Amino acid sequence: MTRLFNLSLAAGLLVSASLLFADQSHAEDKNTEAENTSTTPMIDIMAHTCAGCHGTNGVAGDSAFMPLAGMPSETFIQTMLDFRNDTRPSTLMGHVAKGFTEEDIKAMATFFENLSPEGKPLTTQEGDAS
Amino acid sequence: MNRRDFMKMAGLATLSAAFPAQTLFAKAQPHVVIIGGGVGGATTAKYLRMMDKNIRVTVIEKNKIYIRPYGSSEVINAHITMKDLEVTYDALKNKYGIDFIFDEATGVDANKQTIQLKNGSDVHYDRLVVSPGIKLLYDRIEGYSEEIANTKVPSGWIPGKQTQMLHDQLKAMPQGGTFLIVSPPNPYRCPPGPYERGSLVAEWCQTHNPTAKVMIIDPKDKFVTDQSMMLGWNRRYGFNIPDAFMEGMPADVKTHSTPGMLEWVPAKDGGTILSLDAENKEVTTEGGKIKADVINIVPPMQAGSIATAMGLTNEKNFCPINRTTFESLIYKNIHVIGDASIADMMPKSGFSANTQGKVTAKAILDLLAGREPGTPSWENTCYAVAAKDYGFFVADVFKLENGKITRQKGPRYLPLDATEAQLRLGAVYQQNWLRSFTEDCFA
Repeated sequence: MTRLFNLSLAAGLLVSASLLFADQSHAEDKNTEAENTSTTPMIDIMAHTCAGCHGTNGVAGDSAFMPLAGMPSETFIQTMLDFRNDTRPSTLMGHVAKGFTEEDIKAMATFFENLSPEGKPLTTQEGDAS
Repeated sequence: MNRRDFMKMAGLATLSAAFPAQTLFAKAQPHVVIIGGGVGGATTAKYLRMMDKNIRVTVIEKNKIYIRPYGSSEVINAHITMKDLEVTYDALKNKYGIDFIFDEATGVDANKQTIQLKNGSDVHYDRLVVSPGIKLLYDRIEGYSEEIANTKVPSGWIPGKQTQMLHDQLKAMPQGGTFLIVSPPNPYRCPPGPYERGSLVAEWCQTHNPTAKVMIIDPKDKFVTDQSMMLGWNRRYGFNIPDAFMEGMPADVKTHSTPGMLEWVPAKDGGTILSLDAENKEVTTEGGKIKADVINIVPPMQAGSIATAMGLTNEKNFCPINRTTFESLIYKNIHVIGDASIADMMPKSGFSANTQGKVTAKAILDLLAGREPGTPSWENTCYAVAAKDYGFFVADVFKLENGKITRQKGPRYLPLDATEAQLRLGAVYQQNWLRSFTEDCFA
């Protein structure tokens, strides 16, 4: 595979080749700073983490998981808080719910409430690429 | 412009009209090229187009049909067939307007931002996503090779002919024979996988070869979901749980006077493999020699070959990335996701690659529009079964903390005192997840 590769990458390098690995920790430090400057959570991306089980945009298809698209936000919030407090028994959702803050849960609730049961947006938020 | 190119543009124009552009990019229609049409690549492609129709996405992939690795051990115990693992790219092409080039990338020019293809043509990208999966290092085990894996001692960790071969060998195993699974060192794809595979083989043998033995040897002393798995083995296959794993076990755990069908040999008991004698079906471990009728080796692994060839890997043979955008720390405008990336606490799993793909898609749209990418979050769930009706999991939410992808505090596993009903539901969810997950990535 390496043989086949006709590399002309020099100008694309972030750091000069000789420093590539020696400088790794430094590069990571810089990277860390950059990461910490950004504080706006990507709510749609957080909501999309549900999709692996609950379907894209919360449309569950023919699977056994709860459809989330179009769920009233108070239902979503109460259910997630009950999972988080172990007042509602579950197999897995209690674990997942504990990974999110109350703010996260409210934001995801709004995301799913604003979708039709078919997963289409009910309102268009200006300037939001989602 | 030739006719074909023109047709392509006409097609895109129609799509743009149907889905009005939502983002003002610096460039009219930026082009994101994705190398690898597995879980990570497919999810990235789908979510890019879902979130913004004003972006052109091309996937470069070798195979026209995807064979899904998750759940592929179920071919070995004939729960499903190889055909059931096949996934097409039709929905990604037709429903989402993603272009596919079924070819191999042979070179990249990171300065000109072009990919060279085996067919001789070049493809320009504004952003490149590399989702190459893993490369299996057969040669790391003395006496083992890709050729032996394809003919005598299958691995089946990347599903294909070797997966079918494992089923055929299990079926042909003499009564009372030994099925040996060699588990890999960390880090590797699908952490509970080798142990789940052992369960499925043992369950098959209970019906078809009740005096058989299933042995798992390990270069590690613990594994993800170990207590849940061992409890299932104790209940179903007469496995005696080692003392080190007894904490918190429920009262029904039995000490079996005769050892059951399934055995696990950790590193501390000599479970590390040293060499293979494929001809005599014998493995030499730190604890001595083991003869078996079927040998299934899951070799050590590293980032997929193309990541190494492109110079995206570090000294550990995986790819360092920016945690917010998954952009390579080595090359600009190239993102690496999935098993090949170094994602701190995230396991190498399909679920990880899927949520990484979504984070990357969103970050790419932000970067192309000149916005600062927001704060990401990820999730992973690995379902695993100890039998068809006995399922459990490890589940985690991940967020950025001090610049690292960090598991959020809380319980990770199904509690050991879970009821039979919960375990049954775990298995139902595992089967449902295989479907819903495939849809989220590919349809």
